[in-house]
Amino acid sequence: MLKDISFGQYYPTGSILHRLDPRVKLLIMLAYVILIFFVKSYIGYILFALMVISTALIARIPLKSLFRSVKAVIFLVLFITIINVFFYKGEGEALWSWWKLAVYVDGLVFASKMALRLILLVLGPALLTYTTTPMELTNAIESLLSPLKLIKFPVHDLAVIMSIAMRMIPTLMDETDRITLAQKARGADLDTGNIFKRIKAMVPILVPLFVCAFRRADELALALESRCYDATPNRTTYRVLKLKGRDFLFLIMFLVFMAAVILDVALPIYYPCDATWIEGFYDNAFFSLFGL
Amino acid sequence: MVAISFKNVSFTYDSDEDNVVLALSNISFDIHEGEFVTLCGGNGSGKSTLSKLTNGLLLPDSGSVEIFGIKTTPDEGDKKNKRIYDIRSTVGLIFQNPDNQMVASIIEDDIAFGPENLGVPRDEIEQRVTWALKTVGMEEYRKHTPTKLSGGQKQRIAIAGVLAMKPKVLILDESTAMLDPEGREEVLETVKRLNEEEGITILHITHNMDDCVYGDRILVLKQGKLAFDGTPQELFLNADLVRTCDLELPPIQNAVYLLNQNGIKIDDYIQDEKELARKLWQLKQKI
Ligand SMILES: Nc1ncnc2c1ncn2[C@@H]1O[C@H](COP(=O)(O)OP(=O)(O)O)[C@@H](O)[C@H]1O
Ligand SMILES: [Mg+2]
Repeated sequence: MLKDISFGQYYPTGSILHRLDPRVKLLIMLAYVILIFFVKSYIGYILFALMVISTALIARIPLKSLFRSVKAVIFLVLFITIINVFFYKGEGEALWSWWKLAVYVDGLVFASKMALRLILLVLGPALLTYTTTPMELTNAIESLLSPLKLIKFPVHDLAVIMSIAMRMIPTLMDETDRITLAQKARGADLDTGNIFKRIKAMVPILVPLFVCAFRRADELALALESRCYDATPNRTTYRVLKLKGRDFLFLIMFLVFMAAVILDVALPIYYPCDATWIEGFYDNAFFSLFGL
Repeated sequence: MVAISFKNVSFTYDSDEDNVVLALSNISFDIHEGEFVTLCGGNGSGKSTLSKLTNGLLLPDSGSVEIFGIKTTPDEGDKKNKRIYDIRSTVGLIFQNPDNQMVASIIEDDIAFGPENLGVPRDEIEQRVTWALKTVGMEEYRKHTPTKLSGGQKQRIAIAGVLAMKPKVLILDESTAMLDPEGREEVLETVKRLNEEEGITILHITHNMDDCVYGDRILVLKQGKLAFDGTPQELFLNADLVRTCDLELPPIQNAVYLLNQNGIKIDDYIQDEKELARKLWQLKQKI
């Protein structure tokens, strides 16, 4: 059941994107996520959508698989869209109204943009995880954080922790499935009743899951020690990251894209329709992002 | 050369004051380089404790443990044993659950973990990964994730991960207990080959007496004491001892034992069904 969330699944095709330096991909992703919060116009969203789609094509990832990652957040998107459509207080005449609900043009615009933003916000990181193994990401983070070693920040330990966490996610998911089935076989009722009943029904799943996880952690600690973890400060790394021509090519392409988006953000004057609700924008954006 | 040497080793778990357990008492034995030794014992007999003492995860309360002549305990005045990592890279420990021994999501990264920790240069790590994977017969899985493998394959990867540290001794602590019969055979055949071709000393810990046929020497632990040290043949001829150690005889040996109990005397060591049938036939001829 949990495995439907394709978020965080590597999709190996061996494309140039897969072979790109994970640090470059990670930095681009970070810039992408930050940038998307500044976009206000449809043109901006179209730029982003084009970028995502062309990246997916280059990576040879079927769009169908890519959009599966949106499935995980589809309810959140629908919920936020509906709230925004009916509760957004726009200027001028309402298109439709009843009791406290009213639909304005601005509301429709805002809601559609919010939905686009959320979807794009999921697609970007999904593309990253489709084309980059968790191990590569860990290496990238370790490499990007390595200057912090100078101030004695345990960068390497952090990297090992992340690596193990990612390694354990599928294992723990399998375990959750197994425990769920075992409890169902004993007559546990997990799928009916109100939300509180269902949360309560999770307890017999969570308790054994935690017990198992701690037992695993115990054994893992022994295994780490047996494999000489922390033996020497002069640890070597098997995967050495090195920037190649293609990495610079993609960096430049992304910078061009970024310039286009910034231009679009900085010149809202060309799209007067957006200027009207710019005031309430930031409150609403965050308001909506966190669920209500 | 003596690979593992226990001299009068005792170990007590006493971190919890209400529950002090004497896990091992006065254990002595030597395992020579190149031997394939099986260590049997019932649940809680101290097998895992013994394996952890062997690579310095635990230190003996009294007595000494030496690996190729190096003591696991720190020298007089030192807080930490300076050569502990020499010991740990010499004695590779494989645990029961392969899932709990892998640290990376890609097999080659996992295998590189040990040599990375030891500061082995990159080129050599590459060679070691290739060699280790080949030795356990898993070359084609180099870039795969471990999650989709069978239990036997995962355990072979765990072995490769330890092999990459170039150990001289491998200890398998019930590493076949969770596997199906095929997986068990896969792993034990691999280990047998490592013993014969690479000359790696093996200490295979198990509570399944069926596995004993792989080794040429058996140690039996009984409530923290060494109850037997000899060949499988000798052990099976002493069926009463096996039974008092909470162990189960393999089916054939059990049949022989029951026959003996019921007045059909068979004193020789019987290896398999055919031999038993022949023996019974001979006995019948005599009547
Ligand atoms: N961490 C621990 N703390 C306290 N007692 C322990 C601990 N680990 C093992 N024991 C006890 O020590 C004895 C030997 O355990 P162990 O070596 O794990 O046996 P085996 O591996 O043969 O099943 C058992 O009685 C067990 O309960
Ligand atoms: Mg044990």
